[in-house]
Amino acid sequence: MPHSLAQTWAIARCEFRIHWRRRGLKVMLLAHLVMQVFFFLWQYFQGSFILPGNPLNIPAADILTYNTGIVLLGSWPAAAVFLLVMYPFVAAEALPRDRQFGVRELLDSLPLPRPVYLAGKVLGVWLSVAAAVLPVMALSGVAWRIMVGPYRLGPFLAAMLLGTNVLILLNCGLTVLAAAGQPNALRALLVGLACVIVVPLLLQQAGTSSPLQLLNPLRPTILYYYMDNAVWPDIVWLGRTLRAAEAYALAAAAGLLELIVAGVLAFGAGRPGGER
Amino acid sequence: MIAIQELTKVYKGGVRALAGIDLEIQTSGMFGLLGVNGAGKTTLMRILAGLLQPTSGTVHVLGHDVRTASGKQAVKALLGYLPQELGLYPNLTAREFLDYIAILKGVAGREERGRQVEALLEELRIAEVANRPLKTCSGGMKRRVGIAQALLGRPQLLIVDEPTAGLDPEERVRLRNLLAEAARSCTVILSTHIVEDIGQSCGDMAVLYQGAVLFRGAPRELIARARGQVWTILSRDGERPDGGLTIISTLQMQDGVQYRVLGQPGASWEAVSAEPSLEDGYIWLMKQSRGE
Repeated sequence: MPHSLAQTWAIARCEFRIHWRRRGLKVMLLAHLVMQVFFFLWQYFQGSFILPGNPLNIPAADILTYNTGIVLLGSWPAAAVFLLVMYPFVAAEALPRDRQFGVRELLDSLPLPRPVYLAGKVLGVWLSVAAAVLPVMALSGVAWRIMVGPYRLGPFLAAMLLGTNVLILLNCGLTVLAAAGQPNALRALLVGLACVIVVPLLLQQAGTSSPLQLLNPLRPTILYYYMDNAVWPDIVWLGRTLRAAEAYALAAAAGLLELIVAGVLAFGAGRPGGER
Repeated sequence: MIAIQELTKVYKGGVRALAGIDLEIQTSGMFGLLGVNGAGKTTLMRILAGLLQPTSGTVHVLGHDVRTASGKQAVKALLGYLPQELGLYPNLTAREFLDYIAILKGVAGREERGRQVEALLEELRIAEVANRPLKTCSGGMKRRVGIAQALLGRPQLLIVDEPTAGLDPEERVRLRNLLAEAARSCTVILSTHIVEDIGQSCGDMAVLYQGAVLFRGAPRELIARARGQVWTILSRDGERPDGGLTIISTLQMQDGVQYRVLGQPGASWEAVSAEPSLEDGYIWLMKQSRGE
């Protein structure tokens, strides 16, 4: 393995260990699990489930589609809320923590290029959060299967595997890099707060169908893409209403762009030895 | 060889940490850098390690110019560094931490890495706590982990900044011996404000004061400077010697108080000339530099 790849993987593994040996990620995992149960019960008490005797009179041919909608509506928003808002807070301290622990000077003395260091940190956070979210989603999928019966696995897996990972990379990655120059975890949390709450509130002023929503860190078009029954106001861009898949792809591309910009800023924010 | 010419470092805010230093350090053995806190030692160490950019002057470490990005990277690849404020990940074990640093240093191959890590764990006597989280280890143990990480990858240059600060006497001796052992195969630069550390392990040294080199030479030369200036005085009534003398030590005896002083005591004192130590030489040098 080339040296820089080995370094990236080593940093990612170290980050993974540190995250899983601290409290934050475990608390988030538990809270996410509780949220999934809450959404599950909420759907149940809403009377959304097909009960014995099919009192909702749903045609047999539509039951699979109906169940898929219920499952996605019941599991995806809970996961998305955590991925968009909660986990980024845990992720934000990844870089400032090194400075706070006093490891930064040591790392700066090693033949470790800064882009490799940043990439390793983002990858480590990605793996840590994915390891927390994916089992909960899998468990949720099994629970829904037991409770509502068969549903289409494809859309659920797409949300579970693609949707979650896109949001982890974009949002957790963004807060990791955006908080790079902060001296401690508290300041990093404030940057995380700005990323996932203040910026979306500001973008809200532009209107829900504005193309600026593609830059929204709450990723509304990606969030709604996986919810069959939900509606996100159409985004009009270049005089044309974007289709859901187009809006998804553009939001993901915009998120990647944000990530790259944050990466460039993080590169500049990390002059060695804390010489700032 | 390490060649430093006219090296100056001025921090933002105008603090001049180094004021035109000229220094040459040969690449063999152990070199001691002595000075009071704030003398500029850490700044110099960090410039040599490629962590700080000098304001002016030139620095060549093992043939690489540390002012350039490529020079810095080249030096870092040959370097073992123990910072003054050593930080470790509290939730990792010593073994995991050393393995991590070994990969980052480019120690190739899992086997070779494992061999080096295990050898250092044994050598530094940290093997028995190697699987405990670092947050549960004592200060001395953490310091040893710090030394171990610096020695990983068989560096050609080892820079250790205040390595014995906060250690008990036994730990200090063990650490000094370890550095002396390392100095057989690489250059060791030891920065400290503890004179004894230099006297016991370095064949070559420099004294920094207010960002400038006050002395450059062998410890015995610094000792020689204080020859004829160190006295012991027995004061039977306990009266403290004065007249520009610096009291180095005070010892309560059965028949009075014995002072070890630096300077020229007057004839009224019952003074006996004493053999100077490195500490005496250092204090004499500092006195002279302050014009006392």
